[in-house]
Amino acid sequence: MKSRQLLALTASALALPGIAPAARADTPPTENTLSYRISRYAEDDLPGQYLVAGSAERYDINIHQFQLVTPVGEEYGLTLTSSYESMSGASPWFTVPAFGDEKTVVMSGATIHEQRRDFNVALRRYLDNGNYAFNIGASDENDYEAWSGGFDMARNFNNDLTTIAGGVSFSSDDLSPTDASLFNRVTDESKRTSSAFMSVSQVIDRNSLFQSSLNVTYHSGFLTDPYKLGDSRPGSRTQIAWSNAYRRYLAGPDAALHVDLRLYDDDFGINSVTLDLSWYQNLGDNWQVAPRLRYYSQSAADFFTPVNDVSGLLAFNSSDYRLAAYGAISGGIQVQTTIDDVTLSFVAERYLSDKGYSLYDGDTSPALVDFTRLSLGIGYRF
Amino acid sequence: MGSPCQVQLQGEAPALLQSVGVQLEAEARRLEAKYSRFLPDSLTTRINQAAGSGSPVAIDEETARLLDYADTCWRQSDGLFDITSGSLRSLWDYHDLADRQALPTAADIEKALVKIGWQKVERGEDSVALPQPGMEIDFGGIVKEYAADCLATLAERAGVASGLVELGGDIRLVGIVPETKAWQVGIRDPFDTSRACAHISLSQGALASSGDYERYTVIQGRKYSHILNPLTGWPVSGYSSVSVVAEQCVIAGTVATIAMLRGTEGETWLKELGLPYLSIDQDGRIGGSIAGDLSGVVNNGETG
Repeated sequence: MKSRQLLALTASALALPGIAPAARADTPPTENTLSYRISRYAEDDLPGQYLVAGSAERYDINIHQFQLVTPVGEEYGLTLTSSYESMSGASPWFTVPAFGDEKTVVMSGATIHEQRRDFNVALRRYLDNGNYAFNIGASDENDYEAWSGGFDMARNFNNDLTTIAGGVSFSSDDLSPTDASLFNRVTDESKRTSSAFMSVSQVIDRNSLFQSSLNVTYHSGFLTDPYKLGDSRPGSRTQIAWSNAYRRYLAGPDAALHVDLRLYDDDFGINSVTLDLSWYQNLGDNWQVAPRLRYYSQSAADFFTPVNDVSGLLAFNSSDYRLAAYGAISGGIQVQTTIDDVTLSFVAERYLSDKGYSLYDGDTSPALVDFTRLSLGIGYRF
Repeated sequence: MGSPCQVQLQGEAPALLQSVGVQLEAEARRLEAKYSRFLPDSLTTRINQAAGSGSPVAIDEETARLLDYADTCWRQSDGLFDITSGSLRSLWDYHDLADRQALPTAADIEKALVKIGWQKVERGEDSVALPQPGMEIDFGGIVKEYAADCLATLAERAGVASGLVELGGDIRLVGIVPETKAWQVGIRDPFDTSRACAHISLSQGALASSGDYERYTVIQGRKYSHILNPLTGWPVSGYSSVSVVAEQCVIAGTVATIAMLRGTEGETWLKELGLPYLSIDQDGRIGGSIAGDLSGVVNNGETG
């Protein structure tokens, strides 16, 4: 804690023009960066004792991401992002009661093969005291099409030590599930999403930064999962998330500590808390190793039922594990190296979810997922 | 700046470093031209020449904020750090008093003190006036350190990753370096200013020193330092030199100066502030929170 005298001197010194710590200057990119990343996301197979029908093999996803960041004129930066995902595996279809308290899962019978393509373009203008950007994007699958757009801006105050940012985004999604007549699925549905955020960042001193942001998202339309049997969800959902981030550089070990805490609430009845800790350790000039630990827990949605309701008495009902009460712990490591104009990075992450990790009481699902993610990226500046 | 200055910038783009170097030199010259009390057309000289004339001198934002900072220092030092105390200097002239072996008379001191007192300065938001003829202000205790901060900030804003700005012994780093690559900064030996009596490693921020380096007057066998108390008009006896580490050079510099001015109370003030510091007393003993392994005695060029 700084003494009263030092606080008085510091406040007065920071009012001097040209003395404030150089915060993050808003500068447009001055060179091109082309990057590519391949990631493999593999869900563990469903344990045999929980499976009554279908395939125990859950999703495997291969993701290819491309990004080009390029300066346009003196004040603009253009970012093009594209990704291609190929998915295969089975997903939980519905859950049925077994003996006692046990529940078992019926998986979709056949292995699903799907591809998703995604394209996004963002143009950002950099000003002396802030920046703003527009972006539009499109996403396409054989049974799903989405358009999105957004605007965000940031303005720096107080000698660039304080930044206030805000933004809005919209998306429009159309669903046309496959095999609709065979499984009595909906044929053509849509949903709309609008989202807004506001954030404040404060440079505390040369080594540390705090950011707090509030995000509100409203979904309306068809929010049910058409591929889950007996799934029926309300026609709107409002989500509020409050995120806090603290960053601190430590010159001693030449490392940075990142602490993130997120609190979430929605009108499906889900509350959640996420705590994320990362340690970015520089090793020499060219290497960085960053271990990461993350904890997540959520309560169950009001209409979550561990087994699917077949009575037809409940207006809303879902056994989707993503709406269950559970907790998850994940750990990972990122290794990055820079050789001249080329940056290589490798990420490995292991994610485990379990009712036992949950902070919340409430019903859980036997279909909780565990997964491993591996990712390799290369970036080139020119 | 009236003393040796150096700037070292590190980075991958020589052209950028070169152009930043030119900008920094221009900024240092701008501040010197504006605030030096030795230049006949500086703002400081114009303010001092208008003393007692009754007409305020117009000042810009930068000068107003510097005067605010001087005001904060004056308040936090209980009136000891006073940018109007310059006229005491001629009273305690090193050579003159030593030659005559005479102390200033009480009447001389009384006369000088009339022209001293930050509280007498008439300030408007965009003007300043010194009410008494012969009264003067001197930014010397602030502007050199402020300039080091300005230069380092300019370099950081221009994208220079790391570097060092030294203006007459006061240092401000550009950027942050890991402790393994910290800059080794020498602390000037107050008994032999051509050498360093200690080195400390600095990975960010600033280091500034204040001392009575060789500037003392021996009158009738007694040493009088040139650190002058503006409230009594008499030299202060305390540390021989104090070096302070802070995020901003201007803070390091004024804290070190106030510690000198507080005399025997200097240590209490430094401990209250909590900034890392290194002190050397009149007998050459090294102390302070960053003395660590350096503890020892410096005397006439000997490190004990």
